[in-house]
Amino acid sequence: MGASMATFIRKDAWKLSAISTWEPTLLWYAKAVGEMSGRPAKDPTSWRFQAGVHGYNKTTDPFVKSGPIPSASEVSKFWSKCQHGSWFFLPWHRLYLGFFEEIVRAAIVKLGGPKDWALPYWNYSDTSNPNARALPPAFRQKNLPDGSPNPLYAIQGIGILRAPGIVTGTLSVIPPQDVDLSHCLSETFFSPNTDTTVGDLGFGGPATGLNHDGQFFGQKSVENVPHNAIHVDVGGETTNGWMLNPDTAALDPIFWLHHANIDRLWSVWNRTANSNTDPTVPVNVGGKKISWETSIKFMFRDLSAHAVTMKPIDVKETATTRFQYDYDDAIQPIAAVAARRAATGQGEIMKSQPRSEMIGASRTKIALTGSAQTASFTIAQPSGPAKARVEGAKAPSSGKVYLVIENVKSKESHATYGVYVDLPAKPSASDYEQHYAGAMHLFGVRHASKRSKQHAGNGLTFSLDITNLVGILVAKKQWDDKNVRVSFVPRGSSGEAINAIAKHDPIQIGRVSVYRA
Amino acid sequence: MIEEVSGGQEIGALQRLNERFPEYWMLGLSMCAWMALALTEREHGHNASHSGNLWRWMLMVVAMMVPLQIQGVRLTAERSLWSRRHRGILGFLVGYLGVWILLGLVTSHLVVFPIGSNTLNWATGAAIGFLVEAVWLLSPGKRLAMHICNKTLALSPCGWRANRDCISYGSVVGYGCMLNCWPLMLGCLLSGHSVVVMLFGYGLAWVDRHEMPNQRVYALVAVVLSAGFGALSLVNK
Repeated sequence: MGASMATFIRKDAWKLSAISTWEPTLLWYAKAVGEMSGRPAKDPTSWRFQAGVHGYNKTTDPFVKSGPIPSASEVSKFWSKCQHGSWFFLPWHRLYLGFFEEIVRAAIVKLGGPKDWALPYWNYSDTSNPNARALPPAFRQKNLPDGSPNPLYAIQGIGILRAPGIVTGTLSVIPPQDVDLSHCLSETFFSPNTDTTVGDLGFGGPATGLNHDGQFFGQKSVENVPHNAIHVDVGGETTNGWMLNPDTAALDPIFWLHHANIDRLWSVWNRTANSNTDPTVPVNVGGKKISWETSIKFMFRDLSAHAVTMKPIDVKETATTRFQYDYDDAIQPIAAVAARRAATGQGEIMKSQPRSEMIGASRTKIALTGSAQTASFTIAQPSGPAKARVEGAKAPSSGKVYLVIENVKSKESHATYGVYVDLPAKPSASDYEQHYAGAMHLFGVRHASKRSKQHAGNGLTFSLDITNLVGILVAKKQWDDKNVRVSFVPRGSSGEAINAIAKHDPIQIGRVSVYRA
Repeated sequence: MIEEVSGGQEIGALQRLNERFPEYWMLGLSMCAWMALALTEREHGHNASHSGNLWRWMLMVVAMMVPLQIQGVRLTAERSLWSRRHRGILGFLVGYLGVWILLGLVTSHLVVFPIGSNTLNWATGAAIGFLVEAVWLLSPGKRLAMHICNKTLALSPCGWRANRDCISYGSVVGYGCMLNCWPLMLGCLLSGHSVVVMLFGYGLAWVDRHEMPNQRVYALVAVVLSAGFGALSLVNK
């Protein structure tokens, strides 16, 4: 890895915490948060300005009484610019973190701290650390070692709103499947080479234009798991914590460690195989050719308050570009993936992505109100591009099968539902395990459901790869190739399926469909 | 990036066109509309009738607005059963054009008088249209309207419900598009459907749809166009 070339090394917060809760990297971060949060929001190096770059809404701003926000022109140019449900998700957040890190480092130096400070990351997926899924202890202390209030716990006297279990360090608040990297890190391409919105949407998400309105999530996108899952878990499905809402998420200091880890996973994925490259060929998106590398420019204020414009191509590398950083650990953690890539060699050619076609869908909307719901609908044999693949194959489940959950909307509720295929009427614990297709992580659903100046109000759409599940059901002769039943079961705080949770406002699902590819 | 395949085999150009660009026939219709407008421009001139205006209005919508709906059309195709995806696209277009026909029925009557009576020359009409566009661009409702264009609806998979849903989807998008682009279309209409004005209008609409430009800069461009056509109308006098 290129750690030796980098000026700044981002380190694992839990490994730092093992040395001491207040290891200097974390302590200086806390002090810098305190310093930045005392600056007026009009100052681009202030905590509020930096958080506003991700998203802002006056109605949910916990600091609304702490002073005015920047001018309308400044807000229009620099705030609410986060990219989600898009292949720009990773590069935009890399840029965002880079400028933020420069500002924090400058604040630390001003306070007398180290000049080589770098943003730590929260590696909640570290299987060698039994506490990895708990919030690092520095974020759970009310006070700094000198007895003053801890800005990682409360900012300017306002307590950071997180799920209760997160605050107490309860491991089960973040279930293991929410930090499972086996889907995203085994993905073999960054984005589809078309503007498709269903099926396998790659490690980096679907090809889009500028996209603040996150909509489409593939199961293997790093944005879905662990990114969206962690946002919901830390924010709390019923707590409405800061991390749950894109407009307040970046006010929580853990946001930055979470995103540093997502950024690290991008580096891990890039380094897993030579073929794991970022997009280089333009994609026709809705009639316009868009190059991931160069078509879209993003503008930020740097630590000198200058407006700086950068493109994804400027941050394809981490060590040799503007921000000059690397990670202390960017090695593929999934042994099976690493072994498979080693066996196929470094020259592995990226596999082609077959085109998918819809073979059946539900006819009516589904409302989830806290208890398990099932949608049944008919499916047909493919008659388009998937036909040849299915007919020519020996195995009935040959090719890919996707379950697409479309236009998921909610006004308030962010409850996570597990999705199951052909679940028996009275399922046992093992049935839940065997029929599990995935989960709907509803980070940003409230925004995505409401039509505004930034959102179309389409809700969220999830594509779950159920190829293996269908294969298992076929082998057990439990798969009906004419009908499919899809069950949505609310998930308890420990990640297990439960039959009912407290009533909440309905989560509406526009349609459930099955695609073959 | 990855190569498109079907059934594990490289696919032919026509099959690829059909699979990947299902909007091809819609774009063909649009090109035909442009040609019809260009070929009949002189005949139409300032002797417009109600029906003539409506006919050219629809040609104008098909030429200028329909090519901007590739995203909605692709989504309709992707969310339809393979056997009925072109029917789905047709339904989308019926809904989309239906909204514009309603607007055309009203406007084609309203503008017959100024155009037909020669009280408004084509350049003045264009100048008025682009000026109204500039004002609209700076109004708070514009960005809200823009997002209606990107609205999606869940589509029933088959039967009359599928047809109904595709038509509904098209009409919702058409409504958003109408809110977005009515000043541009007004300018084109007031210019007596001048192909030159329509090309400028199409350019502005394309940039608005795909580039999400700074609205102030974009409004400035509309003002410059308005001034340009205004100057031209003075010269023509």
